[in-house]
This record gives sequence, structure tokens and C-alpha cells, in this order.
Amino acid sequence: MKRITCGLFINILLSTGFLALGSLLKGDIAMSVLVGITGSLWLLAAWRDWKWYASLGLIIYMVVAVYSIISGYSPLFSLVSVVTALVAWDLFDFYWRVKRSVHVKNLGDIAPIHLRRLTVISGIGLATGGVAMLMQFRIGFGIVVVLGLVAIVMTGWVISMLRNH
Amino acid sequence: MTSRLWLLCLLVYSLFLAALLSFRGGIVALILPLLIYLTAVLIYSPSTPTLHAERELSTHYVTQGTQVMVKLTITNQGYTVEEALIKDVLPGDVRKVSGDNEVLAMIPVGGKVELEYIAEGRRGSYDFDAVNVTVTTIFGLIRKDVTLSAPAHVWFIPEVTRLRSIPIRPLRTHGFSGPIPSRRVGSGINFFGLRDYQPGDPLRKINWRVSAHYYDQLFTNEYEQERITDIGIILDARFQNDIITSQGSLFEYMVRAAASVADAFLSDGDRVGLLIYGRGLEFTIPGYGKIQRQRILKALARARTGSSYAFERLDYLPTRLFPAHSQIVLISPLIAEDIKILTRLKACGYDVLVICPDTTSYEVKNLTVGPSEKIAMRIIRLERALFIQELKRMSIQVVDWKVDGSLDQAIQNTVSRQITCMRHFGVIV
Repeated sequence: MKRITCGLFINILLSTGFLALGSLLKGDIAMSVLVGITGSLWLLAAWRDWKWYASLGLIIYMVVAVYSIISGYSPLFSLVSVVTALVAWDLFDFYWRVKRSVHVKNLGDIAPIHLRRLTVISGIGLATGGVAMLMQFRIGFGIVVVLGLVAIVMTGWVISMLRNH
Repeated sequence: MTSRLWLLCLLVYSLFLAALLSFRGGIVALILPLLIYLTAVLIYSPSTPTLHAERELSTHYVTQGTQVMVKLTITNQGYTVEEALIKDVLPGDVRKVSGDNEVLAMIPVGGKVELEYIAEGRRGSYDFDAVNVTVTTIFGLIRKDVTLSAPAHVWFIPEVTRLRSIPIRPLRTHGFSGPIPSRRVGSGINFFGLRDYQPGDPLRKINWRVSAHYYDQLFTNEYEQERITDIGIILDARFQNDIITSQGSLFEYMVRAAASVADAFLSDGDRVGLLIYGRGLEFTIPGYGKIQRQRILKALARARTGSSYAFERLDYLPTRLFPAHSQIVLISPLIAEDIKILTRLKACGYDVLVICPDTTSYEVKNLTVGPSEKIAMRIIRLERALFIQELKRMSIQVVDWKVDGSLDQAIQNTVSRQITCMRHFGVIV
């Protein structure tokens, strides 16, 4: 459990740090302060067990990361921040699930597997994202059409899922 | 699907839209880690697990308040379940005292998870069955809920207070020996009367003191047979007669009294039946011995108060359920209208013993008594005393029982005194 808690706090700090650093390097102090406050609140939420904040934190970090890319800040910082925020969000939920259970058996087996898988998947995600960025991926007209079609299909899917729900 | 998976899908979708609208390839790069995470979730999404649950209880039949050890074993007969939240559902009024009825565990193939806890319950009959298992992926985004069945039954029977033999004198007895004087001559220990000596009478039965008064006559002592009898216990479970205070329900005391009385009569070898009169008629056919004791205690464990238009009064008490001239024991706080049915029972030839818990003293325990309440209490007590007096005038024995006090003492005081009086006035020998 100690490793999970440590991992959670480290990832929140990393995510906040990278996102704030990206903004700071471009001289956007207001954004760095906002990210700093969001990160501090996430740390507080982790300490006080405010489960709802983890998802809010992830959304805020995603929005800020997108804003950073659109504003022309270094995309690498945004990518690292998004990956670490995702890891923190996942660990927060795992931590919550374990803590909520009255009794946990084989925690020594569950936690390492979870950590190992999460490390591998975040590593692959980071590497793939990094490669995509290095390739200077540009969106041309054809890609826009494909993405548009994907967006239409996904919208239909989301609506049908919501109806079924 | 959990709300977290929804959120993740929504984020991916929003990033797609953002990338599409802003023409920025960097945003597409942000989507990739999320997509990989989602793909991993789908890969590790759990299928329905093959789990088997078995339950063991330390006992299936206990007195209320006694603790029962519950042991639940979940065996995995399918693939490795990486994260399973197992929760044993406690039935009704059963509560956990110690141990865990919930566990989060990883169950390998062929592996077992054991849950052990101690539970206790209020009077009643309870079915343990459902075990809720929630299997999640390692990232907790997809869940599968499974309900396993591990049936077991437990009875929390009412507490039984040991009572001394209740000295009743019903009109009719059975042929088997028991503790109840049968008003007939036979082999017994109580003196019944005298008769002329007949050849063959044992010498130790000759009453020498009486014989000494006569010149040429001898007299023999006769003894009273002691037999068993039929007892019908009627428990009044009408809702309007129950008093519920912060300390509990008066009905619980009545149930305990019924259990104790049934136990005392059964221990004496009598044939005992039970009728619970309230929301309906719950009848336990008369019988003897330990099995009957268990049957009656189980019926009492299930007993609940209830209201029914038909059974609002005792008018529909089915007197034919009990053999004619048997002893009826009615456990009820009684209301004024009940006197009619008691008169009818008496007229049918039943011997009636009423165990009447004192409702006033029970209710007043939790009240702040001021001067007006004191006057009200006096009036109610007077009414009650008159009511009991009227019943006694009809030769109905009434045990005025303060529920805090000893039932045994109350019964012995009332019944023994009445028998002494009857003996004094020559009603019985």
C-alpha cells in the first residue's frame, strides 16, 4: 500500500510539475499558478480521500495540456503530464478500492501486478506519444476526413450507449 | 461499464474533436496513451468467473443473543480472478459482531478465499444465501457482478427461563403418569380419601389412626393418581395489544413467557400445543417431548405481531383446536372485550390460566411521571384490578406478571395460592 501511495503522490507531483514547467518556460505564469493550485488540490484530495477530485483533476490536466499544445508550448511536457496524470488517476482509484474494502487478502499479490501493468502501459503510451510527436505528425485533408468519419461514428455510438443506459 | 470508463471514452472523444478542430497533430499524440490504456482495459476485461461458494455455520439452532460463527469459502474453478470484492449479505436482523463479511482478494485458479465472522441475531428464522462478488479488471474500469448462492438456515429461538412445575388442576387428564393430580384414586403420593379395608390391601396402606376409632373395622388410605394432561398455550399477537417503548416490545416478553411455560409443561411430560393469535392463526399441533419443544420454539421464533380485521378481538378463537376439558394458558395483556371469550372458554369446560403482563408498569418505566400521570396510573391500575377480580370470580386463574420480575415467582404465587384456597374450601382434596 505504501508503494501505491508513494506512486500516487509522485505522479501527481510529476504531472503538475511538467505542466507548470511547460507554461513557465513560455512565460505563462498565470497558467503555471493555476496548474500549481490544481495539483495542490489533487494532493489534498489524495490525503483527504476526496474520490471525486481525481476525475476532475484529470479533466483539468487534459484541458490544460490541449491548451498548451494549441498555444505552442512544448508538447513533450504536455504528453508527460497527461501520462502521469492518467497514472495518478488510476492509482487514486486503486488506492480507494483497497481502502474502502474492510479486509484485503493477497494485497502483496494484487498491488505489484497492478503497478507492473500500469508501468508497462504508461511506458508504451509515453513512447508511442513521443514517437508521434517526433514524427511531427501533421493533419492533412485526408486525415481530417478520416477523423471526421471516426467522430461521427463515435458520436452515434455514444448516443446509442447513453440511450441504452 | 463504470463511470470512469465513460469519462475516459469522453476524454478520447473530446481530444479527437479538439485535434480535428485545431488541426494540431500534437493533440493526437496525447490521445495515444489514453487509447493504449483503453485497449489494455479491453484486453483484461473479465469474463464471467466460475466461482463456487460454500457456507458453514457453527450451529443452526441457538437462543437469541447467542453468537454464530459463519464460515464462507469461495473456490475459483475458472480463470484467475485478479480482483474480486466478495461481500456476504447478512439476512434481516442478523448483524455482524466481529470478523469480516467482506474481502477484496485475488483468487488464483483452484484457489480459495475464506471469510470468517461472528454474527448474532434477534429472535427469528433467517436464511443466509446471497454472496455478492464484484470482479473488476486490474484497472477497475469494467466490473462484473455475480451473485453466488451459499444457502444456510439459522434459528434464533426465544430465551427459555426454567420454571418450577406449574401446579394446575385440569378437569381431564390422560392415562400416562405425570405430575398432575387427576382427581381419581390410584397409585400416587397425595392422600385422596379413605375406604373400608378389603382383603389384599397392603398393610402399609391401612390408616391405623382412623381404624383405632372403631372396634371391628379397618380403613385403607386412598391416593390420588398423578397423570399428564393436554395444555393449549395461546399467545396473543394482536398488534393493538403490544406496547413498544424505547426499550423494546412487550411482545418479546410474552414470547419468552410462552416459551418458558411450554418448556415447563413439556418437561413434566404433558402434551402441549401452541396457537399464535394475531395477524392469523398459527397453530402447532399438540405433542410431547423434545421434538415438540423444538417445534414450539421454532413457531415462537417466527412469531410476529400483526393486525387483522377478523382477529381484532378474541371472538374467533378456535376453541376446538384443543381437546375438551384441557388446560388453556392464555398469554395476553387482555382488553376489556376479551372477558366474553374467556367466559365462553370456561363454559366449554376448559381450565383457563391467564398470564397477564402488567402493561402499566412496563409503559411507565420510560415516562416522566407527574401528578396527572400518577392519577391516570391509579385509575388504570384500579380498572385492571377490577378486571382481574372479575376473571377470578369466574374461576379463571390470572397471573398478574410484572415483566421485570420473575415469571416463575408470579406463577407459583398465583397458582399455588389458588390451589391452597380450593383445598381449604373443599373444591379439591
